[in-house]
Amino acid sequence: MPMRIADSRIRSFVETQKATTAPKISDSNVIDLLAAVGDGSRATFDKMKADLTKPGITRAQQLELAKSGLTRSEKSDIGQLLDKSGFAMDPGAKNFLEALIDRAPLQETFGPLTITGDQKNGIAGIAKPGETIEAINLSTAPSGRLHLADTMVIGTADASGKFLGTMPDVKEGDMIRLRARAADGSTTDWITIQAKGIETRDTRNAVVNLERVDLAATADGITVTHNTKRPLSEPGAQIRFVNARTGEKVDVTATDVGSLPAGLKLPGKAGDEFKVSVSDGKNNVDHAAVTGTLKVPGGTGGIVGVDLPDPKMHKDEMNADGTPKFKLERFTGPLFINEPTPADVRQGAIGNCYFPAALASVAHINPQAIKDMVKQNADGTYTVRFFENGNRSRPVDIKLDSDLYVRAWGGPIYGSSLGGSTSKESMELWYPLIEKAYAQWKGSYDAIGNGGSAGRVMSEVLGRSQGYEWVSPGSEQRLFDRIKRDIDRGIPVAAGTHGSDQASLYTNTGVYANHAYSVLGVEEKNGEKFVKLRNPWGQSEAGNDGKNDGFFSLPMKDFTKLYSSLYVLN
Amino acid sequence: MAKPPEPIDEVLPAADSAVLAKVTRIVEQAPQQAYERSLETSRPTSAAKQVVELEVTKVLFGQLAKSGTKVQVIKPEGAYALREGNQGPFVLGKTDAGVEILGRYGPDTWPEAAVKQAAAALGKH
Repeated sequence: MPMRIADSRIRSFVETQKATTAPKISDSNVIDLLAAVGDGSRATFDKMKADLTKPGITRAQQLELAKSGLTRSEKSDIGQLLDKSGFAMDPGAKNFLEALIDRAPLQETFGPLTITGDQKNGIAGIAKPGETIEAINLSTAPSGRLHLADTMVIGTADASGKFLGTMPDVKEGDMIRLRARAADGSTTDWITIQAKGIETRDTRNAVVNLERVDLAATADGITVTHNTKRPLSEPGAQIRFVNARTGEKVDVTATDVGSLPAGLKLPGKAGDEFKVSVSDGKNNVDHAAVTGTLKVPGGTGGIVGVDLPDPKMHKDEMNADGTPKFKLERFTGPLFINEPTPADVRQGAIGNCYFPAALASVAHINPQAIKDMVKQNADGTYTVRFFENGNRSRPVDIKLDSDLYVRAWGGPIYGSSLGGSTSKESMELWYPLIEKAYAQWKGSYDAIGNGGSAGRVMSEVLGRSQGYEWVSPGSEQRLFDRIKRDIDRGIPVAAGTHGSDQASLYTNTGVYANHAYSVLGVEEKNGEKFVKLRNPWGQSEAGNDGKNDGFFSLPMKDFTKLYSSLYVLN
Repeated sequence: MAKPPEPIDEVLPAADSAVLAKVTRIVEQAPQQAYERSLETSRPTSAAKQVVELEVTKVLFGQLAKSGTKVQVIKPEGAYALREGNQGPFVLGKTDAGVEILGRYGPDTWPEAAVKQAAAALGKH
């Protein structure tokens, strides 16, 4: 039976909607219906519409206004709209109409978080009014260094609970994880949707971030672990591991947060390589495109090019059975990107501060010496030259490859280069390779990772004998003059702080006990003498110059209090 | 040992709370090693365990301590020592022995903003 709408404004609304391709009573245009119902002798349609859209008005107040002008015939009109129009309706709009004619109570809010419609024009939905909507694209997150909760705010629910969020780089089929956050910081449960309506086809395959995966050989196969705080792949993605030696395949499905299933084991042994591919069910379904390979630490082979023996890890990074806890990766970046500088050097997670401090001191004063001491060979290996006991007539040449121990996410665990990429393909190599050569010469990373003297290292790098000056309060002028003289003559200088037994001197100073620093020069400002220093961590410093890059100036009077020794060369 | 500090996102998963606080009292102090001057740095030596009283000025997350109160915590044997007046962000974890300060360098390690940002990323409020 056709509708018989009595109210002219409601009839006009219906005719307007019928003229469209997709008639709909939405959270926006339902205001026209409320105004059509609410108008009358006390208020015109326009006045009623203005009152209904006042900032801050609640749904209950809107309903009360509309009901104040509701007639019996309008009640019938609204009932016909609900029952006979066949129009699509937003949940909030439909509830308004039902509440107007007392079919249903008014819902003040439409939480918890609900996503409505497709994502052609953004991510729309309903939450509690005022809640912010946070989202992360789980299809692209594995490619970045994002945690599962590293969301972006895409929108805020308005007074009616409705929101339309915008998010960059969302493609058809992407998995989007969302939650709503209230003003008090509380959050709803996560929900995950698959984006639709954006393109005609899902053309973006899932990714799998192999830099986050660690393989380890055990008695009953290969264990597979990864940092579960960060997504590895897209939820539901099919990930295939193929043992390159045996051809055996293992297919697994990524969990609802894009992790590998707990307890995953692969058939194989130390030294095996696994080719890894991924499919989101729409793309690469035959797994023809391989994402990359993973190598099980230990064994032999698998590395392209000359593979030389590597120094063992520090004892803190060795398993009880003598195997390393971290894998080796071949780094293929440039030996030098620019002239060596102190800023290139970053100490890794090993107690060898004396070594990067010494190398940064040399790079500051004599970058050519760094370029002279490390060379790339025709076979792709490298040779690093030291001088035993600082004696230039006793050179020690160490030949090594560019395999470095790496963390689960792919960056080096020991020394690395600062200021650029730490990726296998592009990290500047001079510092980590000189450190590796030093470990190889002295026996292992453990042999160089339990303390040492920056003076000795500078001596072994430059082939000069070492010396030192004790630092103590009252020696400011003498040390200022000594540093200035050596720097002016092109001789590197470094300094060491007191031991951890004096640690209480250091808390809150920005200087650390039992630590070595590069000394880069001296300066005088407003009559006060300063020494210029660099922390080999490439961060953490005295004062606040706004950079936190490890470079800082310290008044000489503080230097003589906090530092114990000055390393020099004769 | 003068290793670099741990990244905050490696420490926070084990943390139960983080506060801004000031050391008001050294309650217990294990015997320190004898001072020995050396030309070497990064030697495997460390400062003794302490029990200290913290006056909490702000809670960044968690409920191990309330703002405006004093709480006794353990500074484990490690690369740093505390004395009265030291202040900054303390990341705390509950252990069988009591509440411990986490991180290789205690309150020096991360600025307040870094702790709050990392905590929010882990959903710790």
